[in-house]
Amino acid sequence: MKFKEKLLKESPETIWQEHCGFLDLSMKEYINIQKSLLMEQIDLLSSSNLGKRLMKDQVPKTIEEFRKTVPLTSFEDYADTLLMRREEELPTKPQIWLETTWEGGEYPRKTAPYSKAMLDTYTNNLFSVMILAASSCRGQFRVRSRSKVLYTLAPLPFASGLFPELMKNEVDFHFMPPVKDALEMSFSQQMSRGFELAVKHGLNQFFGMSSILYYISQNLLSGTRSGLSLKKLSGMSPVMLYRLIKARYRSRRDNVPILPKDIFKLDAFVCVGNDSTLYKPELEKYWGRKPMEIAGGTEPTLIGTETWSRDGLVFFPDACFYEFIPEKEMRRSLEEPDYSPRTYLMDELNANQLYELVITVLKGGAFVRYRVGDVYRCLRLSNPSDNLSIPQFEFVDRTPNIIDIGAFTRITAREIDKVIRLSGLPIRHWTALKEYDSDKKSFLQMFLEVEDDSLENQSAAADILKEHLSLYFRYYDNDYVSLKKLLQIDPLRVTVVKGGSFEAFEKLRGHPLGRINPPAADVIDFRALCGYAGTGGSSAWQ
Amino acid sequence: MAVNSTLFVAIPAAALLLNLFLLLVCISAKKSKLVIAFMLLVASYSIWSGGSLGMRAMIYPGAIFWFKVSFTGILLVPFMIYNFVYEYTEQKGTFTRSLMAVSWFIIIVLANLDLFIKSPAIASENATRSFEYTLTNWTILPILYGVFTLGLTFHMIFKSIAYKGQSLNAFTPFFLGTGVLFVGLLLTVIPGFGSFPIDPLACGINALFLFYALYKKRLITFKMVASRGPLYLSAIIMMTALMTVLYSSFEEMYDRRFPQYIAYKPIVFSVILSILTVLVYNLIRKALFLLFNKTHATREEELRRFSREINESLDDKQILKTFCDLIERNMDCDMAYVLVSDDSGNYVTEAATLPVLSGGIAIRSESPVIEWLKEHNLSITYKDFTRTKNFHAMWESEKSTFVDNNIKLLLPIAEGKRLLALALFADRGNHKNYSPGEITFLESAGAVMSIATKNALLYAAMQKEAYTDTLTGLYNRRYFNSIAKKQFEQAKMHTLSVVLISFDDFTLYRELYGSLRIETVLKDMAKILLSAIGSQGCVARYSEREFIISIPFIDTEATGRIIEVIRNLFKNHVDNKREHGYRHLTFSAGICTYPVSSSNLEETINYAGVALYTAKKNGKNRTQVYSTETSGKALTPEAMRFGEQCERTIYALTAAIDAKDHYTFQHSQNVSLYGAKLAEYIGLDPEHVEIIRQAGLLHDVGKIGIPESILSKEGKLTDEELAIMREHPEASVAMIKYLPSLDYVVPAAFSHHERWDGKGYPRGIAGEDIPIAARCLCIVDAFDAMTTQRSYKAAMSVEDALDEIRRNLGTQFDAKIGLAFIKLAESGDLAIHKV
Repeated sequence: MKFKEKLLKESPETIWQEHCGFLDLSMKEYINIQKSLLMEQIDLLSSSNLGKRLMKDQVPKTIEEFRKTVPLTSFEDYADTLLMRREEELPTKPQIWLETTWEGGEYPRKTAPYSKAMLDTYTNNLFSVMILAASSCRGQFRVRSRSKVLYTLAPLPFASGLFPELMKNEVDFHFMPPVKDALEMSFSQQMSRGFELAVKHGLNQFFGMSSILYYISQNLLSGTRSGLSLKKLSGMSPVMLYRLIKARYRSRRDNVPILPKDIFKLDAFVCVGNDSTLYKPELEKYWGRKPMEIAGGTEPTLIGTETWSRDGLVFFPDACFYEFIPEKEMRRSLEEPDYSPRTYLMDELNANQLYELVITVLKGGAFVRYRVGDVYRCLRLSNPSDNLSIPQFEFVDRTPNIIDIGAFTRITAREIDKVIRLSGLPIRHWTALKEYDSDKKSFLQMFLEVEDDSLENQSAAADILKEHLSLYFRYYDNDYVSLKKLLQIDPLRVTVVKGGSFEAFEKLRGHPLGRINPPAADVIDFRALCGYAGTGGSSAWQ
Repeated sequence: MAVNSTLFVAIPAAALLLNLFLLLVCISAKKSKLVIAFMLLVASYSIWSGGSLGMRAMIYPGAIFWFKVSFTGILLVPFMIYNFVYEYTEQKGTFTRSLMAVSWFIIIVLANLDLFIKSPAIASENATRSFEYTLTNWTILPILYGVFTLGLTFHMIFKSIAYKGQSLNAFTPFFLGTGVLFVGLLLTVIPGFGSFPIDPLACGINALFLFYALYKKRLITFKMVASRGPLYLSAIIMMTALMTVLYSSFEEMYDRRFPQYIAYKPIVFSVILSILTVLVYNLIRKALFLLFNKTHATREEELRRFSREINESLDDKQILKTFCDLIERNMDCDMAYVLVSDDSGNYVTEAATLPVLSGGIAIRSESPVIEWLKEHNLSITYKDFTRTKNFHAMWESEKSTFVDNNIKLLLPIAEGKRLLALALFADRGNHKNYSPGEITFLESAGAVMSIATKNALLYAAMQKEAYTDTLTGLYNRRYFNSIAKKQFEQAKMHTLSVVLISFDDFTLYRELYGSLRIETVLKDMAKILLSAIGSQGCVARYSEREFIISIPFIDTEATGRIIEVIRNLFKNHVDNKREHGYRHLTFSAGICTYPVSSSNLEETINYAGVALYTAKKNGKNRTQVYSTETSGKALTPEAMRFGEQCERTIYALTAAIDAKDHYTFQHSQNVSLYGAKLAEYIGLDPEHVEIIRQAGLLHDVGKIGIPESILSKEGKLTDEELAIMREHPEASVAMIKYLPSLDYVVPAAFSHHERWDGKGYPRGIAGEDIPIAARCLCIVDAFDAMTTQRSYKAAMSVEDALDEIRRNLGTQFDAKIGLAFIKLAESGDLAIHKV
């Protein structure tokens, strides 16, 4: 039965039970599901070349044996198979391949195969998201089969392109702009056209990356300030026309800007991506509804969702098998590449601790004990007020070795090294960290120390390096272009520190300053040493 | 429109009946706000149709009164619909409803003051009546207010569907019924429908829609099912209504046809009324019973029958078949599977209503389906299962199994938390769901079956224990004998091979590596044998170190190939396990194939033993096929050494006999010589001759344990002494069996006191079931006993002894062998030794 038929024929209790029943799971039940599905995945892996390679030609009989046998993996372990799309080596035949750009590694992109069962699970979990996004408390929701959805997502083969693809046969969503048209538009055209249609016909659901949602929300404010021409008004639905006129009248009367909430009444508002936690309060202010955050990605699929209280992510039990590396272990493994960090299962976590996520994609997926590179904070182990018995999380950031700006581009030490080498500048030491400005926009802050300590050289080095970095990213990373163009973010700040600052730091703390996202305490000390105490933005790692 | 006078009254009567029936059903249900609201709604329909009936039937106090009743009912309907939907959609706040209630009350009061419609004028023409209504200027008021009320109602429904996600499905018949109702009302104001009871007809049709909504769509779930009382009451009301309608016609007809019996009219009418009441009562009861309980009654009977049948059986397969038959007879389903737990705990198809392909459905023991059924012990539709938490843990392959086989319903057959079996029911082609009645029936059958299955499984387990070897899990010797007999009967006209397998130097191995290692080896060997033989034949543990295999419809050559496969498997197994402490161990095998080398099963087994003996004698770790030719070949040096070892053992034993009882020693020597000679004479192969010779020497070795007082007693033995004496064959076997190199003589030594007619001891076997060596020994043993002198008797002459043997041919002795012995003795080729 299609989802739209369910909405018509089934009772809300039944629909809720089917799609959100996992929220009633006890910790034991949750773990049992995870273990059962992992055993299925082991079974599938054992008959594939990829699986045999990763499991060292053994077939683990228990979860413990599996965790002992299979080492933690990164994309490099799969590159040969996945980039060449060698389907015959995979546990199940893929139905679709998704892609993402990845400048930070050895390869320019990452690909991930999706089996039919994975897509079915994805679809079901997407329904859970839709129901929860449209809910105000447990069991109460309103989902329209004919919702109007503002389409601000990247198309296939990017992961976000799955959303309209999976929904097209299940519900009669009206995407604005239509998916077919959106494929032929640039991202900014797509947003502008979508928004134009939303103002004309109304908007019921809004799914998007938090940074984009934030940008659109701000853009909307400036857009609605311009005058109302007859052309603009033609084709508008009476309800939208009424709302627009009312909003403009109130805006002029009270001399306040028009906010999206004055025009749109959303049933569901969903955001995803880096920095969501930061943008959510702003988005709520604009839209009058707190966005519900979800978690996922190209490799892990759709893995988590917030609930009706929008206060922490819950991971779906059937998307991936989850393991968690505690922060301390994660940092040690970043410093010592040969170190194999210890992982913990969902029922072994501590509240208010940071964990790097390790996934084994279930239902025939390719990734096994894979370090996604995402760090989550375990907010709580259970939530009595929402009657949840399973842990809830908050997305913190990418792992410290990756600087993610606006969820668009990911910068690593490898790339910065390359740029410094190309620039030919006599850089003695450098460190880079992600910070946020007062507008909550993230940027890359770089501190560097040049060989020649003259003042002239210092300022020149800063400008040259900034130019080189910008050029490099513009050239190699398309997303970087989008970042500047779409979000109007200037993501680079380069500060040259006086000679000997890095040595002084090492002397003070007994260890050198990390090159990428050093621990917050180190950054504070370093700033103080260089005379920049109290300056700079805030950091996710602080 | 003119209408038949009966129909004129019957339609409102039927409408009233239907509505009353609904009302009475509700009375029996547990009351909730929703049920009460529904009852009030049905009551308003009943008032409407009741008033209409009274009006048309001109019942006291008159049409005007009933018109007002009917009109009140009509005016109550919009509010009652509103009220019902209000409760159904769980609205909050009572202001609007209270306002609505008050305003409708005022409207009803005003209506009864003829403000909206004047009381109708009654016109009669050609035995038909019609009512002429006069509308007033205010008529529009209740109509508009009714439309307004219904508008609010539909708004509530819309909101409930849109915002609370309530299903439209349950409302559909309700909508349709209400539509019919108002179309009916509209038609009444169209001229030409004046005499036709169109509005009660609509009211009746609406009641049918409500029936449908309750029965099929479960518009309301009643907490308690209506008892039959209201149904009977409803039947009586219908009868009364019918009588009310027909009474005047009856009376008129009676007066006209039977004027002379006017005085008896009350009695006649009373009798007719009573008879009719009973008839109609039963008719209605039967109709309702058929409508609601027919299937139920049939199924109850079926369940009783099923219970009887399965309780008579302890055969689990028969029980499953009976269950499948029950399903086939009573359920409209394309296919049903019954899965039973196998040795590994997984559930595999054991029975189905139709033949299954490729083994049917199998579900692993850890499957979430199994977990759910164990935990809840309730039937569940697959659709509902997909909504449970357990479904998240389902493997894709399991989901495919259910989807591909169209499984719609799962029924556990459990005892407490122990899931004995599980029944899966496929789609029935028409995609109709299984009704609650059907599910209840299946659950009842499942409950009955769980007890029977439990007993059957218990019995099967006990039975299995009785016929299996506990260590290896193979059949034991006793069960092998019965299986082999069956196989022999089947293969009598073809071939049957028997293979005896015995580990070489078993005792030594055990001494060196211990019993635990031996047990492991035996278990491993059992697995290898099972994997090599499969369902082709029967494998059993024959003795401590021996396995036996019977394979029907196979020749010697093919059997030999199988044994070589087993030999290789075993060798590889031992080689692979060497690092785990396994030591070299080999086995010898003897094959005999019926009818090439034997004439019956006993012989086949015996000759396989002989072949095994030959294999051992020829150096072990080999397979020997029994045949006269091969057995006659010269012995290998290993065989010679083996024979010498055996001779020494036999010598030691006979020396022991001699020390205890010289007579028995001499007797054993004689029996050995005569037996070997007889075996040669009747054409047995040299191995057999040798076995008989050795068996002759050892056949009385068990007498070592018998007190000398009994052995050399002069005169007749007492019963007790005789009993002790008769224990010596078993005592002999008890001694020989500890000499693995001599155990091949056991069958002959053990059975030498058996008689051809089955009256011998210790087993009482008869005819060719007695091993041929034993039959030979039996004759020569008796001959020597007769021809030798004892302290208590003189020696009988050879002739007399032979006459005695002749007399007992076919009773005590095998006639053929006995005659052969007589001929041998008479020929003078037998050297007679007399003690």
